Amino acid sequence: MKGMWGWSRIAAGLLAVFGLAACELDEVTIPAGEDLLIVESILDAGKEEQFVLLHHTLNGRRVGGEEGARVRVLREDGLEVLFTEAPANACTMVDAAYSEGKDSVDVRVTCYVSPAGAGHWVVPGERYELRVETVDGKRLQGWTTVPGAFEPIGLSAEAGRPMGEVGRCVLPPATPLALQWSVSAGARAYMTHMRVEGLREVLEGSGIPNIPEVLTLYGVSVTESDTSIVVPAQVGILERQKYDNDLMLAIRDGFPEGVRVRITLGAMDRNYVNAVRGDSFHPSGPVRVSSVSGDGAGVFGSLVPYAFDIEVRGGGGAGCLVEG
Amino acid sequence: MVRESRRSPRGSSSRRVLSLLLFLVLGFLPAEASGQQGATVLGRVTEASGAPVQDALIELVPVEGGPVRRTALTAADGSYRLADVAPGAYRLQVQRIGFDPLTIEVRLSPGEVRRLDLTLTAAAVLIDSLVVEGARGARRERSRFESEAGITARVVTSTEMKRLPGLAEADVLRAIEVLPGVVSTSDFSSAFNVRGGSADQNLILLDGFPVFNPFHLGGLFSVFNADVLGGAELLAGGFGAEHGGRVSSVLNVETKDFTGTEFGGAAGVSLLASRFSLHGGLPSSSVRGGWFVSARRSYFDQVMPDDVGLPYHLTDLQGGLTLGVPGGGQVRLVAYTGDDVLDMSKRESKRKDDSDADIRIKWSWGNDVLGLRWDQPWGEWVSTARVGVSRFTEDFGMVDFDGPNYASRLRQTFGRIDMGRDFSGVSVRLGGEASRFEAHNLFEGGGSTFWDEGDSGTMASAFAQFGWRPTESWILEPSLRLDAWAADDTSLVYLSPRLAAKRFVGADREAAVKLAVGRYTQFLHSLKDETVPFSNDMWVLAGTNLSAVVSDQVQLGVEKYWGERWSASAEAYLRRFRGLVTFNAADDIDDPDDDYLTGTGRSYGLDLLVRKSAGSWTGWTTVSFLKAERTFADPLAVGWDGEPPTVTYAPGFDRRVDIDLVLQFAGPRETELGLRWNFGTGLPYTRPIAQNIWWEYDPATGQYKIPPPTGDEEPDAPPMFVVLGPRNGVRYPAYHRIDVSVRKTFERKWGTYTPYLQVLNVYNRKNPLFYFYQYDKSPATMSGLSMFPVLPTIGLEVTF
Repeated sequence: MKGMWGWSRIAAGLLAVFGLAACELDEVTIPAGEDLLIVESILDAGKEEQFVLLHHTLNGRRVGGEEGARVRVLREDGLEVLFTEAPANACTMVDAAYSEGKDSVDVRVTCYVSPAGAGHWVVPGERYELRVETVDGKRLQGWTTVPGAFEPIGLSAEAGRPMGEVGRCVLPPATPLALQWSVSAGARAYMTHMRVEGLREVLEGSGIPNIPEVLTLYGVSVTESDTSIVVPAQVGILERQKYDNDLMLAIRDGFPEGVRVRITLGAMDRNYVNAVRGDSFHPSGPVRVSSVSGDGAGVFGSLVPYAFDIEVRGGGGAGCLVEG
Repeated sequence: MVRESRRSPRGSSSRRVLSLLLFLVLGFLPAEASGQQGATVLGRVTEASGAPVQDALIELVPVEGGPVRRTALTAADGSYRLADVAPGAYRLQVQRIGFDPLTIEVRLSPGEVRRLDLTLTAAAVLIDSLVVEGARGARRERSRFESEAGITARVVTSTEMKRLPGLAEADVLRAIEVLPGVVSTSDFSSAFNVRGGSADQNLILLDGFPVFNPFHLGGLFSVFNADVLGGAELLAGGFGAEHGGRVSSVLNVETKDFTGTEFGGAAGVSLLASRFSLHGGLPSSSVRGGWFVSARRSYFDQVMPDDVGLPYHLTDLQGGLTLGVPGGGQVRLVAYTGDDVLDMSKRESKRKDDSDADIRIKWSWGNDVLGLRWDQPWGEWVSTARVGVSRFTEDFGMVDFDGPNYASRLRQTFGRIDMGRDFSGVSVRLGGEASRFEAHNLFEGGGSTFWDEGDSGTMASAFAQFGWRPTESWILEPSLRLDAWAADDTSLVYLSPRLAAKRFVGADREAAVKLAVGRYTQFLHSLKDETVPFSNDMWVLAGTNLSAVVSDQVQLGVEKYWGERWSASAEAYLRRFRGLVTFNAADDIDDPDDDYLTGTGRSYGLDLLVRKSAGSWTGWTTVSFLKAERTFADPLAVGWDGEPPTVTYAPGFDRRVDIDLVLQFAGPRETELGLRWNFGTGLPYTRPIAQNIWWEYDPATGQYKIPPPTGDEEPDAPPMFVVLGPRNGVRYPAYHRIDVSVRKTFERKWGTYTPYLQVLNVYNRKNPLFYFYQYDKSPATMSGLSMFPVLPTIGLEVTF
């Protein structure tokens, strides 16, 4: 078995269908939930600057941060990186829709950032430990082993830049792009993160409603040796119910001319995979497998990325794949 | 016609020694009131052709009062046995649908063994089947009570099934829920749990052939058409070595035997589906037999517009053929095929306004069963041979995209033969079976395969089962089963000894104490999440990465009859389970050895039953006490490497107290009333203790973001994770509801028609299905969905 990604989503869909035959129970008030410290940190080997987010479980419509904490990441060779507090918007982005309207939530989070100029200190294959100590004595701890380095296979020189840089290429409209890469030792899965801009303008007049300004979809390749995917056809497998079927059909066999796409291939470690796989069904929402221990919960995982931008247009330009 | 033989009584000191030992085991039993040794009447009931007659009712009625009346039903080979009959004069009466009743006078001496082989003559006029059906279940239970030791058999007849209020139409699996020791976790599922066992540990047989997932609409109701069912028998525990492959219970769903009947049929219309069936005897005078066919289809998809309704339908096709063969044998063909189909693949992308277009999916699942059974006498031996194939398939796919696609398959091909005969005072049953299981589960999409596991396994089994009456008061049933399993590079062999003992108490033999101990094994598992009430099974086989389930069980009970009308029983049990399996939600995707978690379980409880089986008012009440536990590694425990911590919890079906009251009234002018009241203490669930915002790492920007909402509507709230408290650490409120049904049958020259009204949950109790916790509100709230509200349904049944 290669995991059971998304069963909770299927179960949730079934719940919705059968819920039609059931009746809603009266809503009653209950005591507030427990106040737990939550940590979010994905070490990204493609970036110099790393973030650790500390926040709390919801207390009504408010989410609290955790200021003044001592946040460190230690590498097995003895390197210790001390994170410092930074403005929340340095490491987070919240859609305005969530801060408006009757159901808005006052989201506060405390962002901790690694020192600037430290270089690429997150190295593929290395093991790291996270230690968090709050001012009131709470402690959180976690470990991650960063997956090994990998390289795309067959990407053109313009597209395939060294890890940490972003390549560029041109892809003709309605053309699938078959990506392959080498094995990343220790990876539990690979993500293909696809960020598409310009669909709203390009598909204007198609009658498709609710086209997002930026469409973000994920592809997943499970197991260490599953090292290929076809973009865009095989991306978004678990997100199709979120969007209009005609929008998904419009990008099924290739991108329409004029859109801009960023593809990020990423080798994920165990903790990152467990955090997003969502296998445990609960009617109140998805359950995350925590990878930190101590006085709270959360994720401390790692990613080795490879990114490039695609310009979708006809005519000349650096192709994405090596010809022949 | 009667053939008889007599044998003199014998004694044995060894019998007394063993009897004494068992007396010490069972203890505290009162001395037998009668000092006189009982007689035994046994034999076979056949047709003129020599074919065995099953389910014939044998009654020994004392002439002019005197000793107690005794009853038995004939087995598949036509055999019957009435042991320890008080000496005296009797009328022996034999009744069976399709045959003329037979009555003979017999006088039995103390200790005599009288063999009476009886031949029935085909009836010129058929008995009303319902009249016989009504008493049949109780008589079969009584027959088992008198002739078998440890088994706990509960029978629901087709008549009881139809009088039980149900969802739209009679349903055998819903009827099973009202038996002692049986727990149903949801109105939305007819899956059931018996005495702390998981739902996949119930062996469900259709005329002796296994059916893996006999549910429609995700479990809402069963695949069996009640019009062609004769009844169902649940063996909740203590079953002998002849049954294997499951550890919790055996449910025998039996179709009616239409041998010798006239051509006829039945049809029904409910709010759910329409069905019809045809049946009859064989027209040939030289070959005796019968046949039936039945079909059912729902019509949501036909009566509702495509863009409004649910393009879902179910179909069932079932057939049976019984043929007498030379030498007094009988061959029976059993066939079933059924599907559920949710087909949204033909939907066009219609858009009336700015609403989103639908995703086009096709989802189907269903069972197929084909089996052949041959019963044949060979002198004193009677053999039963079965060959068949049973399979379950499920397919889900999105027609426009490369996944996700899901497929699940399980197929069992098997052959089995067993032979039995009676020696003096000892019945012997020997048999063996071989099964080939093939399972495949596939979940793929997006160019990746999430789960692709195909396994096959072979099970070879042999059993020997003995029934021994060392004295008039004792029945001993030692049995032994050997199961060998080979799959992948794994070979497993289990020896499962079982012993059942019963001691009758009192001169009238209407009370008994019984004890059964045994080991049970199972080599396939369903990975269905039992906290989701409406889902199908995903079957996997024991092998390299999966253990077999081994369960050691003991049950001790008392049972008491008061004539033909009343009976009561109390049974306590203890079960231990090893090798239970569930998904590992945090497995290493590259490591096939950690895909599943293996755990243990335990259950114990007490089942009480009081039943009234005769008269205008019939019914029963059950009170079941249960405590069940499961112990597994906890995949949600943080950051474990190597040996994970374990968690012990009450499984989702751990209903501590379950009470059922069933009343059925056969009134004047063919009016029938049914009432069921069910009360159950709350089932456990895992309560969320908090929620936190779902921050998503965006590798394109390196930032953490809350994903933007889809669509133009104002978002409900940011996406969130729930943080769970102790597993199944809290419980829902108690479950209870009353269901009623009214049926009235009108007779016409061409047949009968029966309109009926059923009302589920009469007082509209809002039994919770799920709770939804929302800690993002101020104050935090809990809402949820209830199970069935008050739900009246009507329908019509026709017979001709």
